Amino acid sequence: MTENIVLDLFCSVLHGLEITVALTVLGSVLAFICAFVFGLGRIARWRLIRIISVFYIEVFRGTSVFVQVFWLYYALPAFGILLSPFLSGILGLGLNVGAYGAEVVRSAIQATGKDQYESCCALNFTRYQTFRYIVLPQAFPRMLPVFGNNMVELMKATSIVSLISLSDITFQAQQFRIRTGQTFLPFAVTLLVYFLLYLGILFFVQSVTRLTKPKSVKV
Amino acid sequence: MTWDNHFVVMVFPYLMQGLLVTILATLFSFALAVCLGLVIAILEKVTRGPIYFLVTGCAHFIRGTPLLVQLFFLYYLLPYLNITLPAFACGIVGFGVHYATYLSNVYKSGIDALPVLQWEASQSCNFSSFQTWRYIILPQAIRPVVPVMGNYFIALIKETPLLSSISVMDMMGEANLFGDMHYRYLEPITMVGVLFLTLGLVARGSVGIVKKVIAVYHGKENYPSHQRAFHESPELDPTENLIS
Amino acid sequence: MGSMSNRLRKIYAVTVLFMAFSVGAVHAAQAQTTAQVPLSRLAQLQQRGYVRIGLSNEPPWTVIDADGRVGGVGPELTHAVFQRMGVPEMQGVLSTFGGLIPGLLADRSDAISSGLFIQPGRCQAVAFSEPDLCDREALLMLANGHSNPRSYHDLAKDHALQIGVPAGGSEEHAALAAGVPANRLVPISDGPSGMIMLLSGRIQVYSLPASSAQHLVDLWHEQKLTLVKVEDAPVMCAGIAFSPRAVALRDAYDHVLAQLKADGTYDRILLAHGFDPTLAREHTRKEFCAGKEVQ
Repeated sequence: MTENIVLDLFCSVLHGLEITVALTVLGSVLAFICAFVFGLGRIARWRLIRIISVFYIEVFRGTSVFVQVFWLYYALPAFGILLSPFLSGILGLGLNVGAYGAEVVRSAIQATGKDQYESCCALNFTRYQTFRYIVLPQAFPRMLPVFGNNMVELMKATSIVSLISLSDITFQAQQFRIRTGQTFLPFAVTLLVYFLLYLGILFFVQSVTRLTKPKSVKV
Repeated sequence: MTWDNHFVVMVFPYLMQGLLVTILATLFSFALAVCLGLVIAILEKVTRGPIYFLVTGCAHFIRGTPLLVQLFFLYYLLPYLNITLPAFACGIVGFGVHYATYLSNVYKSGIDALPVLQWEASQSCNFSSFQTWRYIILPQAIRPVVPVMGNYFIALIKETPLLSSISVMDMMGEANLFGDMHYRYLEPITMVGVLFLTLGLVARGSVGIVKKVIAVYHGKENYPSHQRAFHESPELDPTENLIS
Repeated sequence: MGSMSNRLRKIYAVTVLFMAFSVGAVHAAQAQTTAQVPLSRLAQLQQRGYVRIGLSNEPPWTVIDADGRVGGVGPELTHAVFQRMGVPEMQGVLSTFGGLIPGLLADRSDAISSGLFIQPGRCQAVAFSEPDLCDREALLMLANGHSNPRSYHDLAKDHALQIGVPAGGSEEHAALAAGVPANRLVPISDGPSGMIMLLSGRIQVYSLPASSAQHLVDLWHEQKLTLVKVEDAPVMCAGIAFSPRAVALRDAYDHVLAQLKADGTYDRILLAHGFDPTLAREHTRKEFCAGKEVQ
């Protein structure tokens, strides 16, 4: 009987892990794209793009990710747009964390010293050249650790999708509880798995940081 | 299902009740986090060897796992140890401890930003360890990181809907209950979103005022250059999760 | 000063845009609903080959195993009916109990089969089939408890009791109707959570359908629990819930359900799970809905 329970839990967690990892990876990709698109949009020369970016950032940073995911799942269909639970999850998480990321991109770029721009001007660089060769290589390493934190936040936030019927680890743990009445085992295993994912992300971010560092030193 | 203002009016009083719970939960949790965070930060600075690893390990574990599951743990598993806290208290403890681990990092970055000179000077003045922390290190370390702490305060507000999953009747809980009773979810959830947007703006405004007050009373220019960064771009939160 | 007015302008722009967005979205939604033509949903399902059944994990009504396979008396019966209607496959859409009806209304599922009791309030929100599974409401409490409530009215009288009810469940409505104030009702997401709350003293009484309660008593067989069938509550019957826009599909379902009841398939499935097949035959949707059905 106990052996059966352990096997059952193992299967449940494995199924849930698939969803959690997929959500984390795809959500992070979306967040990364959004961070750059709207972070740069926030300091763009065109007023309209600035307004759109500010609107996006304020709305998604201002409301809770919990509310956003619920809204995408239960309220959006009322407007005739039916997203699958998985897509609602990715969109909710990615857009939310992307809004935080956009502010990171913006402040990392704005933290670049005025003298850098002045020297570019003196060298007769175009705006693109200034950005591509001078600003970005300095700003990107500044963003990385914060992006790492954001990715951890996103991974942790995936547990919320269990409340909109996506069968991630937390959801599977709940289902296991309902089947067996056990409570300690599923929650303990769940926490442990999340912690391993956390360590994995830290490792990933550290490797990327190491990869980007030598280049920025040269500039 | 289309938008119906009738339901907006109906749900509003319930959401106001929930709003009060949300605000109280935020304030209490943040107070706990501010105190506990400082304790953790100092512990991580003064301990060595196994105790140090225990403290940092626990902090990483709490920071690296979802608050939702931690809340479930507190709510459903503490009773097995004969500790049965009311749901609201469970929420405060869960949020407070979780955010304390974030804030401990913020404190630490403030402490690390101080030049070694400050430590050496206190030592040469023959200050005790307590005196050094109390009169030299902490006053200088905390002030510049207040804006970063403000960011975490705003983030905390937006995580409070998790409370509804352990049956605390915050705004989200009230909205869900209303939905269950009237089978209308569009208006309650949208209203909760709008209220959070408002709450976030108010909180951001207050943090901005606190920031200005600090700048006026203590003068930004008094900060050494490496500390000014906290003030100018708190989004680039210099606290890192990375294990160093 | 300059930065202040900039910020104000920013906030202003955001507010205006948000309002514009909401208004636009509402208009789009209204256009959407008026444009919808009720096609034959059954034909759509037959073409697609599977039906999406909304359910929550509520043993013994529904059982979901580690691989996500769906079983239990409700889904099995529903599957049998849909198979005979020419829809061979069934896909389970899992959610919390409280999330079932919002999920159906948000078109997340085609029908709900999860022991959803037919009630006047729900009849206004969804279209129910004829009753298929019947049960009584029960109260679960610790055997050494001081008070001994037998009905919802007893619960209303004893002000010291915190009462757990399934979130979004019929017990919530019944208790409120009997005069229990809302602040003494604690919504509970699932059975084991309710049991832990009961054992730890967060709630003193857990109100839920008798078969669900019996299942919990079996799981926690080492605990001394009292299970009371509620006196002032009549037999409750569950039906399959359809979207209010799918009344025709519901009628087709009812037709086949009646066939299964006549040829013995219905009895076989219910008896296999320990449910009484005679109860549902004594009741109709009409009496449970009390004239408040969606049209």
